Amino acid sequence: MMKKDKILLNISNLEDIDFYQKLGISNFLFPLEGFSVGYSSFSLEDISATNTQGYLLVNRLLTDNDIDQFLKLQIPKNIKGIIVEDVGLFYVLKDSSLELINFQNHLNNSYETVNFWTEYYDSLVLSTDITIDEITEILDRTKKPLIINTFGYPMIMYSRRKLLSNFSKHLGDKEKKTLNIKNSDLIKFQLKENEYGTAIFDDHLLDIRFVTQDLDDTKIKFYLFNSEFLTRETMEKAICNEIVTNTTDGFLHKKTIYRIGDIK
Amino acid sequence: MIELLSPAGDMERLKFALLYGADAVYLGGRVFGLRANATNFSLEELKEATEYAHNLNKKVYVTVNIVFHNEDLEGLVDYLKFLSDIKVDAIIVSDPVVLNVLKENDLDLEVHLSTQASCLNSRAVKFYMDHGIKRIVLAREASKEDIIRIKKETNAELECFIQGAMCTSFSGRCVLSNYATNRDSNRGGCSQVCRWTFDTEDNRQFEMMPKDLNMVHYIKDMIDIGVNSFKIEGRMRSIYYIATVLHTYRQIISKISTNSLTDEYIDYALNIINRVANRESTPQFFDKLPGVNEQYFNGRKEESNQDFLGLVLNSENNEITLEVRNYFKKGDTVQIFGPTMDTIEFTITDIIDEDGNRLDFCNHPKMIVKIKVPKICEQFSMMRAKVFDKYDEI
Repeated sequence: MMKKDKILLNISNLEDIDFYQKLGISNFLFPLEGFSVGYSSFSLEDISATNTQGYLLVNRLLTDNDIDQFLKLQIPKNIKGIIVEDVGLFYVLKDSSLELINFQNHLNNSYETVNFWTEYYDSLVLSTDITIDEITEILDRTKKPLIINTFGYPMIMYSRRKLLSNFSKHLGDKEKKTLNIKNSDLIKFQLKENEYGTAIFDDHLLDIRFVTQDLDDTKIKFYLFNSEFLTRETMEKAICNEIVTNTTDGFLHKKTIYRIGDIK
Repeated sequence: MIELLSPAGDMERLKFALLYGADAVYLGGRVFGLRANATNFSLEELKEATEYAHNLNKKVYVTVNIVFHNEDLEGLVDYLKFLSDIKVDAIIVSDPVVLNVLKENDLDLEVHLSTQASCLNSRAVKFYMDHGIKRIVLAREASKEDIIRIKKETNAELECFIQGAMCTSFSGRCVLSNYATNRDSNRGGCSQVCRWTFDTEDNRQFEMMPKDLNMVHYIKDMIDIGVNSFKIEGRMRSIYYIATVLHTYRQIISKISTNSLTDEYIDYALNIINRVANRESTPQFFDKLPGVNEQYFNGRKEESNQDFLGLVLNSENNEITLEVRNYFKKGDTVQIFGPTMDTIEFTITDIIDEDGNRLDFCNHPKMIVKIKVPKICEQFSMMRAKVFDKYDEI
């Protein structure tokens, strides 16, 4: 059974914190307003006011001006670390006392890559796009405990373009900040836009809780649960090891191919 | 020195790229590159390509830019040793695993950071420079302001895309292909899902495909900023596309160096480039955040054309020997452009086939014909349909 103190919960509503704490969750991930895309985000003042221990999520790619703005922020004491996408932000924070966790989603796919980054970072979030065998081998060889995307809708694309604003403008409609699209009954995506770009999420709910139970727990820092788009009820089931229906185990048992000749 | 950097999908494209003004080419081997379904280069061809370029005092950069999975690590050391042995000028890398392998094996290869790493600020550039990376290919999302700041703070060797297709996402930060088709975008299998049409819940058609990039208007700005290498996208593009685009940008750079670039030439260059690309193009992120006009809606209007009429194999006594590529006929007005010659324009008066027969038209690709021309042409110059008036120096 997954230990609840190893769940890192990406929070989508600060008012839910109390609810989740009562379920045993003690580690929260707060997407930082102005520095994240795709997720409901919060100001440092509001995060500080929760008085809850947690990590900031900074999943934008940043310009120098963005980093300058970040460096003006006063990081509250309840923040233990930052899960960070941009290597430049890591570079300026590397000597700080904050834990720094690499979040180059989709790029952290091999044990050598993981070992490169964890020479510098305190930990790393593994890609959502690898098989269970690959995860197992990476955990066998990692020098530091890692974070595994375990439950939630995976973000699978990040554009600097404001795709929904452009779409609305093209149609002459009122601007939308979210949109569901599909190409077929199997290929469905959820889009979310803010000032810094557009994120696309897969519309299939990833749930690998029951597989991760077989992994070496000592090599896992956190199991990442993402509550974006999900209700408290669904999250409660996930946290309490209950069955959630209509889920997928992603690429755990489905290796990707890349040469057309390999398509069967 | 300003470097004009061309894609080379195979040996033929490489030769045309170098002939038409590229200072360097980038290409992929059969492994570890992001164009897994292109022809690419065998090991023997990589060696031949490198020798060929070096004999012309030009450079070859090899893409080793996949995002590695555990299984891909096998063979990497041997491949890098091979590239080092044949003395390629640099490798283009996105996954830092390659840096470790180079270090552990004491391999002397210059490394360029791929645009797949989405480098957008000077601090990230410093991180990568600290790890021995010599050149940074910036994210296509970098604005003029971003590039100025990065150059000023790091004085790094910078390479920027100036022409070609764009990803909708930050490069590398997209696995739509993996989720929609199981084809791994970061290992060269991208199925270009961002170019598909989708339905919304209220039954509208949603599209997100960007127009191409072109920087014709801003080459001088980029030179003034200190960008070192100007990169053209398109390893799977034709020799005609490569020749036309390189020829046009080479002219622009040359005119900037002699302070003779005019608005008229810029307009002409844009017409030529947009026509050969079959897609519209814009400067994208350099001058603004791309908006509604920088992408396609309601389907892409791809106007495929048959402008490329033939390749000049030889030219003697005001007569060319031409390898035909597309239909043309007597009476057509055509243009011939070449690596260093002035573009010429004329009306076809005579077409003679290999047996000496006079023809009214040519409609077989690869057939060889002779045509009278007003002046001698360069070998491997190209004949195209006259769509725009040729540009006459004022």
